[in-house]
Amino acid sequence: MSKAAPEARSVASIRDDVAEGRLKIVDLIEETLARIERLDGQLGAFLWNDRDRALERARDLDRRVKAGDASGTLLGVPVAVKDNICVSRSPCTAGSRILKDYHPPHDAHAVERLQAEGAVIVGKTNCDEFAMGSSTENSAYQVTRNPHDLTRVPGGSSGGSTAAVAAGLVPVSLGSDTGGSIRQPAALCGVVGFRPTYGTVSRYGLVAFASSLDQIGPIGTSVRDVALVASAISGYDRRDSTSLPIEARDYASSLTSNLEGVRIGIHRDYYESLEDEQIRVRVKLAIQELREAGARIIRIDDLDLLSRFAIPTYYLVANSEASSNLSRFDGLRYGPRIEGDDLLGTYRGTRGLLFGDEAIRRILLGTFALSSGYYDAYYKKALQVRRLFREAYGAAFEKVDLIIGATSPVSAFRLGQKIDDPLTMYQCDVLTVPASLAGLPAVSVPCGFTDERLPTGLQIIGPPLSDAAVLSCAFAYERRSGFKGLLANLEPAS
Amino acid sequence: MDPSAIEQIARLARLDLEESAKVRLASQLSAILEHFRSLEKLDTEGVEPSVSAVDVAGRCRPDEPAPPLDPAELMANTRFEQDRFLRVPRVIE
Repeated sequence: MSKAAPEARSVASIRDDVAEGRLKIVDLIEETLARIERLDGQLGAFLWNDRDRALERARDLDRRVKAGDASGTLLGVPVAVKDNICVSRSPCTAGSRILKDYHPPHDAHAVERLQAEGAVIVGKTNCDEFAMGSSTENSAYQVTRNPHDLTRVPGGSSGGSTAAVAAGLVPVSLGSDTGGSIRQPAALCGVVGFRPTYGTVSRYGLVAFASSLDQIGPIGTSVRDVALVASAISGYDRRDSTSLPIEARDYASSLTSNLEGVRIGIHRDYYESLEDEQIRVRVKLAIQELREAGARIIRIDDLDLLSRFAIPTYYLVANSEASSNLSRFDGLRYGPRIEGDDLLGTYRGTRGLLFGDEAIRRILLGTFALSSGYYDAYYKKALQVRRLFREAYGAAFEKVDLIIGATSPVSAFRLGQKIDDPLTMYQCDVLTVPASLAGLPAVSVPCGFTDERLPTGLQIIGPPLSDAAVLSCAFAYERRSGFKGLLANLEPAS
Repeated sequence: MDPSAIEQIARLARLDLEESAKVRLASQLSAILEHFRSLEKLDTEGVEPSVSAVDVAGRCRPDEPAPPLDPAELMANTRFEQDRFLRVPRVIE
């Protein structure tokens, strides 16, 4: 397998070429679908493609372009969508057997917004069941492999969306990030993954895992592409009661590579205390690059007390919410049904048989944490610590504008290496869950390779609604480092 | 946490589990909860719980009539339709 990077077509170049008549959308979509068909067998990124519908949409857009009746920031851009985000009349399994053959009658708000900007949805991508996992191995349907090393995981839970971008199958995709499910796979696959401020992208049409943490966001090969998609899907939606009452935002046009005077915080848990020396070295070099770009690097200690409590806090909050959210899957209205002797037997049989191991583990943990006698010691305690996280970040952002560090404490690990040890798997999220608990915008940008040629990611976190500043810092780093979209080439050597 | 405790939580969560799964889960959940108990070390006396990342009070949208999702399309997701209703196991004896 050659490691030479295939040429990535940027979102802006597709849009411009289409708008100026140099590129027909139908040709681009044909080419994209052919590449998926040729290469995805070794990757397993896609669960489903609808060739006919994508081509029909492409032809319709081409007709409108010709008539001078088409516009949009994503005109003609092929997009892959994680399979826990609804696209009307396409299957939506969320990686679970309990949603097998479910076809939602509605589009997610983010999907509506993509289509309004002229994007073409080319397929749904694999993920951990209900987005619960850090390796995409918890999908009930298939394994997804890391395009940089097919014996390794792509990270998770948005592993399909991330691998598809990293292998150059699509320029951009949508994922969802509850505790790091966009940023961690982006780091492990060498692409850009962005979790917007909680509430800036509607959760309408996202299969709920942990509602107070779930956030849809983009994955792409460059910060500019990700900023364009993030802008397209942002803005208030009345159908999500936690949607912030703000206008759609334009992150792309405000990107600047000038970091003069920007105060960047570093914390030892995201840097010096990391066990993996290679990741530590990559972060060190990144800090140097940012300093040279004009940033002031400031050591912060506000998160000192909290870092080691991130995993229990996050997993108690997320699993408690999950146990409640997943109670809707009972086999009565959609999906397969295992009929029992009575109603209760049907519920228990359907859920017991069709949920996978990790979903069951989390439902049980959440049910336990919410149960009488344990609520105060577990769930309420975690909510109180969540408040402490928010306060600690608030104090830190009095002193600095952004916080940087590693996205993941480990690079891509081997398939099967951690799947039988849930607690070890949970530790993969230790650097991404704190920003999730506080609802902060955070991005992972490629930060170079380890000696084993595995990608690493630099995480940039900002205060609420500082999405533009977070993306600008990522843009500045990308410019200086040259680590734009570390694409893997899966084409056979000719 | 032993298999009988798992059985009790599974009953609350409406899940049927094999005996072997209960044994496996008992050991896994014990280890996980042991780790979670580290939170006890943090003093949270008087700290207000934070149920969300943002302090948005439960906002309600205006109650305006709008076309519903197509019932026929919704019912296409079930094999248990009968005269535009869902057939479910008997609830009332």
